[in-house]
Amino acid sequence: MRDVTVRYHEQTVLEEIQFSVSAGEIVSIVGPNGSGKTTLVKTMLGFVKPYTGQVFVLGQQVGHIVHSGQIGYLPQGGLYKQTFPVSVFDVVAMSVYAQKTLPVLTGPDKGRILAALDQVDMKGYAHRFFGSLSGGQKQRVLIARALVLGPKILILDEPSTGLDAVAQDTFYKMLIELRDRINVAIVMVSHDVGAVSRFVDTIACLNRRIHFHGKPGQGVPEETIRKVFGENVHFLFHDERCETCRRRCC
Amino acid sequence: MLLELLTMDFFRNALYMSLLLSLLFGVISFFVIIRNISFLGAGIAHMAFGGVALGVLAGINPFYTSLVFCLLAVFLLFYVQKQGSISYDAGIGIFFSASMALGAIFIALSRNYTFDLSGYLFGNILGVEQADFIYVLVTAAVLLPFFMICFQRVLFLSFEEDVAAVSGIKTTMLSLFVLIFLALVIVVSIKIVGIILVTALVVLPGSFGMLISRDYRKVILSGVLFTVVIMTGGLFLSYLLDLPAGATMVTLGTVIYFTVLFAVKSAGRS
Repeated sequence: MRDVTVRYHEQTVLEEIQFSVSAGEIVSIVGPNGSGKTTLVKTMLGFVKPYTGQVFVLGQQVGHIVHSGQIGYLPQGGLYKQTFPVSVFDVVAMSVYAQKTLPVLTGPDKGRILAALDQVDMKGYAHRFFGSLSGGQKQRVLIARALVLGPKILILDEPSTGLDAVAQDTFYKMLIELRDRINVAIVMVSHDVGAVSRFVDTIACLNRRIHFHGKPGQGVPEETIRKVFGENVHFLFHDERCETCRRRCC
Repeated sequence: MLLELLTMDFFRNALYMSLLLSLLFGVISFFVIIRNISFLGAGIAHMAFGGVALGVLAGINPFYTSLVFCLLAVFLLFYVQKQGSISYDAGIGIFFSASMALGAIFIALSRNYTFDLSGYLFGNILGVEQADFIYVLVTAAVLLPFFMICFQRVLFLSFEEDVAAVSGIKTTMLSLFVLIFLALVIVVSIKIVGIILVTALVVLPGSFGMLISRDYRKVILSGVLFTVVIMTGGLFLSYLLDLPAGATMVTLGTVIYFTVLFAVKSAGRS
């Protein structure tokens, strides 16, 4: 993104945003509610047109949505109906059908769908009703749907919403495994700076502007955290000796 | 006695029409339910009243005026909703009542005292004519191949529209097509089942299918079979009991729906 500014009704939602992501990198954009995270995702995907600046995805300027199959997208918070009458297999198949002229799945298509489910450890659930899965399992299936066409970029908007701490850890570990296995670039938006900073390569703190962009290991300055999340923030520092972390993770 | 009924042309025509409409409503109702646009179905049916009344006033076949009226309303509704100026529900509420009001004004202005208003409100499947068959067959010839080819795309956009768009599906165009087909099915069947009763046929088959299965293929199939049962069953019952056909079909459908709903809920509890 190069100097991207987005305005809604004369109000600036994003201001001079500049960042990039490389193949095999996991970037997390963190910020509080209303900081412009989802707008940033929608701008990357071409749903929102920047007021100024340019967005390039895979070397092409984003004008409208043209990167079919090359971007895997997981939107925020399950907007689908829980009773939607589809199986796990059907959900992943949606991406494959979207690329086909006639609605017929060939043998290799079915193999690809099962392989994508296998990548997220959900192959055994292929014929289960999607609505009957837990939140974490659903997220895995939706990741499989995003992966089935072999995308170069995965864009995940608040993927851990509704997952408990254990499910979040498992989910982030799965993302790291996927990144290592298929060298996909992952852009992940989250409000939870603590959780994502343990798993990502690069972190960007957003609150209308990007206030910090760097490695989580460098430590996000307290001043930046206060700028992004507000003054009413209390700091708790954890390391491997922390009893709470040990109980949660091990 | 029932076999005797089949020797009568008007009854046979009504039966054939029931089977044709079952297929159309079975398919379109599935999308109405999964896309949460039941109120739109009711709205379009009532908007058609303005078109029918305009036809009566202008001396034009009410089928054509109601078709144009409903399609214009759908385009306008779709446009204002996409612009974010108004929500679907509010838009439908406004269009719905405005069309009914215009319809009442047109009827009053026409001073046509021979116009069969109740026929359009409650339908008359026993009075099916050749032209009705042509309208329904043309609609089926366009709608069924469209859904055969685009079914999975419409399923995807109904599940998660933004993801479908990122996957390369032309979501705006397809959503509009679904609304156009819904309007078409409603308009071609208004004279047969009536403005008021057509709403039930838009909602009941899909809702019934969702009770029966969690697999979309079975949901659609059971929706079609359900419509066949209520339309043909309602037709025979109405003749045997000397009741209005459309009303008998809808009552039968509602009774079956709630019976199965209670059975499913009881089975789930036990």
